[in-house]
Amino acid sequence: MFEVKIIFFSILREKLNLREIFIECGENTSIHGVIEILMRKINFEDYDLSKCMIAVNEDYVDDNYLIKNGDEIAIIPPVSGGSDFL
Amino acid sequence: MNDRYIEITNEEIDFKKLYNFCKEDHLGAVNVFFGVTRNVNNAKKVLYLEYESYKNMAEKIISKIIDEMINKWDIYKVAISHRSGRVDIGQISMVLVISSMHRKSSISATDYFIDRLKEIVPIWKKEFYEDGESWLSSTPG
Repeated sequence: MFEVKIIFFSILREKLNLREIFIECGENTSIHGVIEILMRKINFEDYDLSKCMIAVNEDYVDDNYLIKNGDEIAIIPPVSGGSDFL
Repeated sequence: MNDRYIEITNEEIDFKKLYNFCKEDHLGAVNVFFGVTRNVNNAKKVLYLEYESYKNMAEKIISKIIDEMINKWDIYKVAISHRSGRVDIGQISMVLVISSMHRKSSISATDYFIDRLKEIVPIWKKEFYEDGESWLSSTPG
């Protein structure tokens, strides 16, 4: 087992009142598995996590990515940079 | 890499610096895009904005978008500055400068960059109104 850091931004960070959390996972835990652990640990209420993208060590990954010790996982809500809306 | 300059900053954007970075004597086109904070969205009066970013990742993803642009168009240099923190109405929230030999490549690449920025760069915008605030998503719905 090892610990990984998960960080939250913008709407999720405010909703959860949480900037980061550490969770324990075993070898061969995928992103999919991490999300399951998170959902047991945190009440996301009506927030639909499936609209978020996931980044590991500052790169986007898919659900099958296998977490390694020391990885930094970020939950990325839909982005909205730039000036105008749409 | 000296073909690009990328910053996410809490300070007012120094666009002259970006222009100077991109211009070269053999290039005939420097396309400059300013994104400016509007005072209205969805018929609601906006007082000011706040941007939050996952800074290191945002800079990294911007650099990847620049790689995509260089593969698609004949452009030479790209400079981008995006604000973080509070930005008041009428202030510049982002500046993108692209230089190329002829205008078409830098103009097309500008449009492409902004579309990609709104898709994948981890920067979020929150609007503040007289009666509340809301995080925006560039995906409708």
